Amino acid sequence: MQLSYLQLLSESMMALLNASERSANKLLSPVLAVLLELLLAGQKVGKFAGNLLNFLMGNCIRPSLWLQREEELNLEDINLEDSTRDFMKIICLLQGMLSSRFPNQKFAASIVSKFITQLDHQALNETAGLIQHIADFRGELEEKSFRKLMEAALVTFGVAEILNFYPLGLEGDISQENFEEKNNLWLLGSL
Amino acid sequence: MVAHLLKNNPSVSAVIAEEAKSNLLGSLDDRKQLYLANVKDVIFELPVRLINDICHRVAANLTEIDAADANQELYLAQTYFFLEKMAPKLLPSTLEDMLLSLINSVPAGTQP
Repeated sequence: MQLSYLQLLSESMMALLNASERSANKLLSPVLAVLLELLLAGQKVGKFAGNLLNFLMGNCIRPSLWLQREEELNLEDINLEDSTRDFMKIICLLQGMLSSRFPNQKFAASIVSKFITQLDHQALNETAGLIQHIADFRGELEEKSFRKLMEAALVTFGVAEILNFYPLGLEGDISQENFEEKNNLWLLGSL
Repeated sequence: MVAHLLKNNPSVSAVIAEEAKSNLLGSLDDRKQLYLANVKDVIFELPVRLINDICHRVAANLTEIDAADANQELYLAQTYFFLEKMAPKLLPSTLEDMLLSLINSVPAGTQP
């Protein structure tokens, strides 16, 4: 039953994406939320939901999500329905995956890194929070998963931009416990 | 004469029976595909408004999906077939309606 439901959900999403990207953007985050919910619904359903999540990440993350339309920028009032809001909702969902409550961190890292590779440098401002979250969560992740995530960010946004967030240095006493942390030396493993 | 031959050669009769069965199944499959293609052609000729109206009604029926009800699984499969074939004729508003109904009716028993 859940498999038929998931198939129909994904097919509807792809059909809507082909018919109207703007409408698809609005409904992408609730669809992803349903898939995340079903990831935890047993082995077979969970695996299928995971495959669809991967598929939708590869096909539905498009620049119209993070590029504001001109008519939105021209409005004097704050537009609560602007396109980047949908993008921020997706980022919130992905941040939720990278938490100790989500049981499969390896899978979460692969989905989030796939998401990041679909972006471009114009999405950097909106994605800064997610990168910060990845950096903060690194202690909970396997080294391989963390490296995969940071590599995706470095390739997508460029080394210079990421180093702006986390400048490398050699300040302080090397024997101090927070020396590595203070100088962002953890980033070296991904460069 | 043939009957006598088959009776005395079980291996030959088994091969012939297998061949007949495979031909029969193949022809059934061909007929099934032909039928589905015909259904698609017929539905595709319906006016856009009618196709969209059907889809809105289908979406309205997707209120609460019961994971234990086999009929609902069939309904979902038929909806999938319809959507897959008719996607080029469906309006964004229809597809939005369909997706919203699906989002609001995650199969019972799966909520954490």
